[in-house]
Amino acid sequence: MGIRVFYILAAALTVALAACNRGPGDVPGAVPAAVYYWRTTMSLDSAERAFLTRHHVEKMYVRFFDVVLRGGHAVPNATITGLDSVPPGVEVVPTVFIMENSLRADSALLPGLLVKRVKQMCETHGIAARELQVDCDWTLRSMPLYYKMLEAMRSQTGALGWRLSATVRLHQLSMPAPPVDYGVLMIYNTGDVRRRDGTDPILDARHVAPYLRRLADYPLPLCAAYPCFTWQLLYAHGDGHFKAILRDDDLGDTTRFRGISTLNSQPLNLSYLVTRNSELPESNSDGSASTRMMVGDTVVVARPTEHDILATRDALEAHRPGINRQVVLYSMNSNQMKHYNDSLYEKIFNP
Amino acid sequence: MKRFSILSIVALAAWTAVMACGPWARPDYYVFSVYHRSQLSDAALKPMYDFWQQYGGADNVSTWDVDGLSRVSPDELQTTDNPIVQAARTRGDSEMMAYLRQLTSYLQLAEPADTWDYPSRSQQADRKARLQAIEQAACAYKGSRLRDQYALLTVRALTRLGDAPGVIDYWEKTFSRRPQSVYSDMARGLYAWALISQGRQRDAINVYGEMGDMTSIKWLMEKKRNLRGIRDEYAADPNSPALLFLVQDFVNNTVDSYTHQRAFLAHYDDEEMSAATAQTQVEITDFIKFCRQVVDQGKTRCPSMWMAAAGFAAYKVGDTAQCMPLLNRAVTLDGTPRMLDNARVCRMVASAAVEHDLTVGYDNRLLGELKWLRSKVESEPTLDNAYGFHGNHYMEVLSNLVYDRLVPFYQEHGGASTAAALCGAQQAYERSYNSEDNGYYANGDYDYLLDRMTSQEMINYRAMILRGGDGDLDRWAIAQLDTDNDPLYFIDRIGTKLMREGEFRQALEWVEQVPASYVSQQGISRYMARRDYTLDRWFVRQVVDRDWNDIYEPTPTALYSNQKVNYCRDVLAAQKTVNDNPNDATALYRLASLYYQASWWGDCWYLTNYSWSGAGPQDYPMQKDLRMEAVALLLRAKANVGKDRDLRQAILYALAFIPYDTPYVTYEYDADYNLITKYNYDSPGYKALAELADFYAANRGNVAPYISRCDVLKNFM
Repeated sequence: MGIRVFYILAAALTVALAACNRGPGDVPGAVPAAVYYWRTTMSLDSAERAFLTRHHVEKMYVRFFDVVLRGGHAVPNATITGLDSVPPGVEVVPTVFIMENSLRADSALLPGLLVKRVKQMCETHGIAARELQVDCDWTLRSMPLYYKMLEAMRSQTGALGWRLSATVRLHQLSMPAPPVDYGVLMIYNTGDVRRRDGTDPILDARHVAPYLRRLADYPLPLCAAYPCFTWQLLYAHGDGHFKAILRDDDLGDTTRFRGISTLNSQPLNLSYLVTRNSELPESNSDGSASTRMMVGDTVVVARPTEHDILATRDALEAHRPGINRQVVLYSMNSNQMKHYNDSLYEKIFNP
Repeated sequence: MKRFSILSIVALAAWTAVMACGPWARPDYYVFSVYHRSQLSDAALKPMYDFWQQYGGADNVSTWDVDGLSRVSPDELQTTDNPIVQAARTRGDSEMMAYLRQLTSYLQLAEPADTWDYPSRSQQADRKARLQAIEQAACAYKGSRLRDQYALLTVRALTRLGDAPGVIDYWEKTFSRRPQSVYSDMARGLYAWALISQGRQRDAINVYGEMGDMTSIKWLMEKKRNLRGIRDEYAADPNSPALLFLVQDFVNNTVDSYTHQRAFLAHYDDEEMSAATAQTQVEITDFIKFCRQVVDQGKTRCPSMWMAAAGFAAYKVGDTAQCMPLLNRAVTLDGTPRMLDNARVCRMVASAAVEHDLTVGYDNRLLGELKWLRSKVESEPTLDNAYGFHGNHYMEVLSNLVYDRLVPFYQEHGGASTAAALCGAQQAYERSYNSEDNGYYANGDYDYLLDRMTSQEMINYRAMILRGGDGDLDRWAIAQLDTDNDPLYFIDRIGTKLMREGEFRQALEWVEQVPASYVSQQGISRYMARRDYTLDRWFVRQVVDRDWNDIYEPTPTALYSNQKVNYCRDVLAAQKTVNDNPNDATALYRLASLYYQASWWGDCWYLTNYSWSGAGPQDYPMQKDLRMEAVALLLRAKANVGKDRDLRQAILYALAFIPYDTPYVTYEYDADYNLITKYNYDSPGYKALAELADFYAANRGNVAPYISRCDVLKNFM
């Protein structure tokens, strides 16, 4: 009798524990190592190809095109070229970035147009896709339109036998989960470039911490995407206001920049002084046409530290075990990736 | 008193020609130039536009029409109104029509656009097949008239097919053997692209170098814009065309950066910028050493460029001991003609700042160099691209040299008249050069310089002009002056300057020589004809109806006398009365009123100025502050007025009316945006108003209406 009761209680406890641990499930089709490819031409250099091989990267989320609002209509923009040269042996996940404001235009037609175009691109270039991913910085206000669009897309991708996934930003964890098969949690762009408070605007563990408590209960399979990129942030001399993100400006160009060893307010030691006035093609932070880069302005190279990346990864794992079963790096670019040691990538991909 | 409580901010432009506020805003142009600036432009397209305009008629074909061929479908060739196609159709030019068919077919086959309809595999294949067909048709052309056009079409089709080896092969075996043309140049550019795609960047640089295409070289050298990049490129090829871009870029931009950094440090005490500036200086010093090493090694075919770079960089960082020997050597070394010109220009600019002896030898040497530089201005091509104007490098150097180096140099070394003549000659030269084709160079420096001269400087300058100069340099400059060589110009100016300086007796000698007819041609005549300096400004405001057109052009008015003459006489008479009767309050008051009217604050400002601006009076050298002279006289008058009540209240009112440099009241807002009035109790304006208020209080009901009705006084009380 006593033993029976013990077994019954033990069984009940096991069921209860299992129920407690039952999350939304695993990311379907997960692979340990994946990367985003976010350029406009598919062209991998030898270092990038070697990276794929060395780290056994099996999946690439490739940005196929953006959807932007033009003339009141949602239209594709900056379509990738060179898709014929996708490296063999790597699964390609077509990914589309949708500007939030384009959701309001053609919302009924957009899902069909988008899925049809992605499917056509795959067929034209012989890509055997099994999934489509959507990236959008939606807000509570645009969420109803966006989720309705995702539902429509999901039925269409389902008919093709494809999964549908979506990116999820940290602030979106507080909102209902999108109607997709799984989400990729973006662990980057966590800070505010306008604030020079000693934190890294790309990834700082302190910025991520407040969101961790929402992870365990988030009702969607999740994997995580970590940054391996750099921003060159231009701040004004004097009040230090943020002016622009420099695109591909060569900070080694001594006709315009000089490296400085430290800046008191920055933990990073990668800062440059602007030494000559010039006009930049970059947009101003206020959206006006051009930015004047003035002598005395500072360019701060924002690059997440290895410690922050690994500490964040461990914190995510602690709050949501299994989230790192698939890790995605943002993004594949040898010029950016070279700033980290191979050992970091090993640690990220193989915890 | 409301009439003086509001200061007009509207400029009364009496003579717009002298409205220039100076010093003239002129960039510090780049000096170092070893290739023509059009090589950093889209100049290569111009011959193509020229060809089509020649074919279709310059009046009919615009660049828009040439670009518009891409919007013409081959099926529309018989109906389109594109003037190029129309010309071919009208002439029955079947050969050209066949070419246009192939060309428009090609132009229609652009890369897939950003539309929702993405091309299918078969559509891609069809596009490829059509491009191949165009390439084959172009290759099959057997004629001679359009051979270059078809050859370019072949290269373009191969490029769009992504067949870089095909492009290279076709260029090297076929097209490169044809005579050079705009089409071969365009094809060659595509050939260079193909070389880059095949990893042959070094070959591409040489191709761009031969084409003079610095835009592409700049793109390739994007990551090499520093001394390390120059060293690397030199190590790869001591005669790389890219070194022209890199060396010029370094000399102009890094050195420019050094200047910017120092200017920044002049305003801010910034430790990091100090460190950065030190780094820049070290890099420039290393650059100078490297340039000298390059010349010593003897591998370069253009040592002149390297030595000039070293010398000019040394000059820009203030190494005066090193720069001239380097630049003197640079002009003797080998290089392209432009490099040798560049060395000479650099030497001229540096020597103007470094050589401090105002000797006849220097003047003569300088004159020779200025004449040579003008010859370079005239031989420098300007309008040479498809879309616009590139400026004239040598004119820019000349402007900076004369206005910013030579004029201050002579002024500081006792050569004010030579400085003025050089300035005038340059301004005249620029005015004669300016045109739609050449562009417009800012000028007005000479007018400004003359305006800023003291009366004595202008007297000296006039004397030098009258005797024809003191040397060859002066004589050369004077011969070219085009600004008011009318003798009356200087006489009128000298007289007015003397009035401004308060030297009315001397002034009278000059202004008496200026007839009313001369002054009638000046913008100030409009005011001179309508205003009376004998009225008291504090009692009467003499309004002259203005037209906004006054801003843009003078509106001269016929005068019957030169008011300056009468004014000088009246002032001299008033001064004599004051001198004879130092305690005569009426005489003191009268002279004060005259002085005040001729000041910037008076209605008759035109007596001492040629223009008036709400921005405030100009700070002329040797200028007498007639306003404060008037105040001093009024204070003396007040002290001596005795029992003359009418005169006392007029004096008190005048002293309260006159604006002083320190305002008698300021307004601020507190944290809740409540207006806070703060009186400056020690200011002369406050004291004058307080005294007037006391007078009013003591004589209430028995004061002049101009006091009892004064709103400013009421507010004050």
